[in-house]
Amino acid sequence: MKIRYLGLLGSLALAAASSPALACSTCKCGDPTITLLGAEKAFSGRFRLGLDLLWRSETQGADSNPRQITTDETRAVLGLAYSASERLSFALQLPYVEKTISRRDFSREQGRGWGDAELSARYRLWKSGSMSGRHLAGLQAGVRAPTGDSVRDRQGQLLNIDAQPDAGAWAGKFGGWYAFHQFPWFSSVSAKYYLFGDGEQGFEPADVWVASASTQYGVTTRYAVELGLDARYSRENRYSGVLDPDSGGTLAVARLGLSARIGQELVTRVALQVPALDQLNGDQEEDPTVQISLAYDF
Amino acid sequence: MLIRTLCLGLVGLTLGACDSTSGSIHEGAQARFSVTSVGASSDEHSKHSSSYVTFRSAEGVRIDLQVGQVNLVPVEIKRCTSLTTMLESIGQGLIGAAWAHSGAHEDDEPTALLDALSDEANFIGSLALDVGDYCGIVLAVEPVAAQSAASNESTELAGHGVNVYPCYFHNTAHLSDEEYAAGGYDTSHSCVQFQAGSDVTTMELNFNQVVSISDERHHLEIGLAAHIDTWFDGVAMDDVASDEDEQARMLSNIRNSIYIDTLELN
Repeated sequence: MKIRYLGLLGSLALAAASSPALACSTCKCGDPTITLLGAEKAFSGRFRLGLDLLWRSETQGADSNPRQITTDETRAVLGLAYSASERLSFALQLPYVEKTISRRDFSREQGRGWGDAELSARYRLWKSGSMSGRHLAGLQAGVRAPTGDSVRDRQGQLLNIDAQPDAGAWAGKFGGWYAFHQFPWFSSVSAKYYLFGDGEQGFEPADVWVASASTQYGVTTRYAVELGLDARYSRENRYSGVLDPDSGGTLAVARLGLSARIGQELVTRVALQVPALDQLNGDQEEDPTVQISLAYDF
Repeated sequence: MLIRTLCLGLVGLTLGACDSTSGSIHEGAQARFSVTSVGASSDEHSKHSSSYVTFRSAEGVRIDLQVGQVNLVPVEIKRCTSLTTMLESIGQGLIGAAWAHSGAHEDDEPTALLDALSDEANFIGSLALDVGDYCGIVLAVEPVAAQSAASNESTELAGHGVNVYPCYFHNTAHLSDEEYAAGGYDTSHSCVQFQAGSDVTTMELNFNQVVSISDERHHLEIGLAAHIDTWFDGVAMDDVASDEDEQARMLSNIRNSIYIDTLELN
């Protein structure tokens, strides 16, 4: 798995690195807003490399439940985005995940490996405003493939699905997006629906709605602050047909982010996500999430 | 150019850090039970060409036990009784929690029975634990389910908790230890194989000291031992294969023969 990804990434990255230096991406799209991978304005040949690091933890099950599970997760997502034209962009995301699940009886499982890859396309349907546009809207679609590792311990025993890097399920992604670019403001709204197939070990993830809204204010062309709201909704998951009452529901998290541009092409952001609306099913507790993101234009 | 190189280096480092797929599983707090047979000498019986163990009952009857299988199952680890634990148990009863007792059967099936002919410690099961103080255990002699018996190659135990095959020497009952040790006695004997224990019967054994399960120490190894030389004490050997009262006496002897030999908390 790793060698395959390495080859693919290495080829793409080196090809980009060895090409003649382009004019700055900000100049090419006429947009000084500090956008991360997936939120950028497209122009023909734009190639970005991104890295997202995310730390999160959650607890499922009541305190009185001896099978209560706490999950600590560190996720590094390598992303590649390529714009074939002003209208059409593609992105590939490859997560590398470390998960530790702990139960009240002190049993613990830790898995580390590649998660499921996601390939997506983003199409701009509508543009308003001069040059590269002030108002942009479009559709996005993609597919998540069960390319992730099935992690075993040294004795060959398969780890619980909750400790696996990902669900190991096919998923289709469909959605729409809108963005408003007028420096110092950048606002965006998006909604996506993930249609999941069956995962490994009898895990049947429920389909998920994900919606996001954010506004960024550029203090200068190098620094920006951001406020956002990310929400997800799903029904309960199932395990071999049996419904898991401590899964699914609605969760909205408020996001506070600080972004910076380093040099011409490197964009960084640190974001803190704090649960704002918690209507998760059963007994679930989501802790604040920390995210560090990098995006680089080649 | 510098930043681009740094970015590529960062990606390279990330990929390098993502070099391995690895996993580990650490067992939770649990008590593992094993049982060993003691109190008899083993020998190779040329006539029957099978191993057996020899002992004398309390009446002095020589018993050559050809088969001695008991389906001994751990049921519960008993919490130490205190006002707090009593209130907890009442509360758990009121809310109908799954903690009817402090331990819970783990998923793994016992791999062995109490085997009188084995001089090794046989694993008979495990129970999950929670943080707290524990003062004893509850064990059961349980009939083996027919399906489980088939898979365990102990089909003779199907529907029963005990399967024994003693050969008993009629003329050894009143021999002194010296006479018995000298040999030369009449070795006429009878053999009978039968199953007993179609109902679940339980027994409680207390720890010598409180066992405290904590985050640091939560793997409890409980080594049980069974004094098999007491199994036929007071039992009318000529009747035991068919007489329920005699079988009940033998089953009581079996339960009473089991004790906690070792406790190890890690």
